[in-house]
Amino acid sequence: MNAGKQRLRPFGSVLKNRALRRSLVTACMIVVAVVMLFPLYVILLNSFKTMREFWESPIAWPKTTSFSNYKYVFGRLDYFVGLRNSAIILAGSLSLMVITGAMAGFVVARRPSKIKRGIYLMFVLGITLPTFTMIFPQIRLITNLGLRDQYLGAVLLYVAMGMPTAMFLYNGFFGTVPREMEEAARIDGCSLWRMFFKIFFPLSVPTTSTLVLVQSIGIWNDVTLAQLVFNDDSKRPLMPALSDFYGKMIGSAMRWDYIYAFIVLCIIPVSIIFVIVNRYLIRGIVEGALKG
Amino acid sequence: MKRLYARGKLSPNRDGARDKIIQIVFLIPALTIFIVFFLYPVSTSVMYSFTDWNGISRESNFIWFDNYIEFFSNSTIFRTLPTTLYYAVLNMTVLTFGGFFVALALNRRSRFTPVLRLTFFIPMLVSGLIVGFVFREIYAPVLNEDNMGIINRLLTMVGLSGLRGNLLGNVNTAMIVVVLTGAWVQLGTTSMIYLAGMQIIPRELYETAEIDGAGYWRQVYHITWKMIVPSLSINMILLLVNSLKSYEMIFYLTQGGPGTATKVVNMSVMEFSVSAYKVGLGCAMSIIVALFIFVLVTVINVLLRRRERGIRE
Repeated sequence: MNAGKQRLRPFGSVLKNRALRRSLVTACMIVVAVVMLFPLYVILLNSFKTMREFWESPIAWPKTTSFSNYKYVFGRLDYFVGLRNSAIILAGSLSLMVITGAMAGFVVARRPSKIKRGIYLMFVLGITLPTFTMIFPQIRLITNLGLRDQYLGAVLLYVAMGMPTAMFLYNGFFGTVPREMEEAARIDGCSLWRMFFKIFFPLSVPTTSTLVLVQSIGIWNDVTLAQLVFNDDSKRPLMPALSDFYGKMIGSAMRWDYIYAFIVLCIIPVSIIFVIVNRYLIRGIVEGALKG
Repeated sequence: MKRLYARGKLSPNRDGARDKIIQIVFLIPALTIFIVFFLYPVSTSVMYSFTDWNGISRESNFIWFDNYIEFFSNSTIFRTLPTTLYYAVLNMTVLTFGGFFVALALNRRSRFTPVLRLTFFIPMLVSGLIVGFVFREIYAPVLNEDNMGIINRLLTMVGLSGLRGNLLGNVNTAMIVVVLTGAWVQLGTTSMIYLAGMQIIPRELYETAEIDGAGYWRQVYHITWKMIVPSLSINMILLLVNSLKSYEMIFYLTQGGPGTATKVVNMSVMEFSVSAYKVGLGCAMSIIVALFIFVLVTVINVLLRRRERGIRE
């Protein structure tokens, strides 16, 4: 009994210490989190304000919640045309990148050879190359192919530029799938084709989500390439449209209120992708941890 | 079981040949796209870097290494290289350590953790263009008592009017402000990679350390920091590559100003290629950057490998 008490005492002091530390860390984190959220707060808040309220104070709470800024943005074609174009380009790029990247990564990881190792290295070295090393020849190339101002032109460039990451992720993932899985499939008389589409590709959901998330952010937010590919306003994705909208709004009357509403509407679609994909990401991490 | 294996081996040649064909079919789409739209442009870029191509005309003259010589001899161009390196070093330092501490705090079980994680991850969804527009408003200088940037307004509200200033317009603070803004965007990604690494560290290590009486910070230093090396290498290499590649966020935030205080190489590349019609020079500049990245990544890789090996032994 006595011995038990003595052993308990230091344990208790550790606990107290830990509780103090925990609340200190939490407090620090909340302060940092407030700083992190502040710019988003500014964006969201001002999108609901009238211009006068914005000029009075960009950080004060709006006096009346008005959706008039959103109504204005929705009343213009810029946003919807940009949204449609961005959605088409994103969907096209992601599906092409995922399917071609996964197939190539699968072959490189599961049927290794010297040539495939070389191919893999060639792909992965591409990660280190800055966009500007190839952007102007790329634009010239798609102009020559007649793909300037075409969705396909942008899609092919985004897929090519995302391919190093796709190969890196898929090769890594398919390399970790246990050999038994493949052997079992082979015993069942599965061809490589069916093995990929029925077993390996469905298994790669966490990897695919990672790739989709990283590339969606990159493609959705890209301005430079999109501006060079599209001269035609009706084909232009959202970010160049925002850049133009900003120019018009600042140029005419400093309409920051409209700009903030447009910005919110640009962030929402990519946030939706994030929320959907994030669930699979977490599930993937949990599964990975359980399998050990 | 044996019979099944035997059946599988009945037609090894035919299966082998089909296997080979499917392998090629799987590789071809990715390879074609990559070769045509990535490798071919890169190699033409190398070619253009030896010419005076203006980006529009069909003809161009071969001018040997003139573009490369111009990069190193023209001080306005060359100056962007140290600026880029300065940005890269600051960016890497802030994020390798900042990201580590954030991940450490996010790795705990607490009722706030899910909300906190979301808070740190959301900024990475915001494009460089938007970051530029919004943060310029946040950092804006004091024009008069009714018209000033948000930070200056906050300083006025807490009664620290003396600290008000022009954060982006000051040569001494501009780069630091740019780095901190970049950290706002990248903190989520960096800490996510650290978190993934932290979750693999076996719990027993901490339990053993606890029994041995090691305090929290000792555990963090001797276990977490040392076991996290794979995540650390990925982070350092990604941060290095990304900071040397960065363009959009800095461009929309400062346009390279004040003066050339935040003018990174890529801004110069874009300027020469688009406004000055010197695509050949732009290509040469970006190839120098690419070589630079390649060398630095190799060096970091070797150093980290050595460290990784040292820890394993």
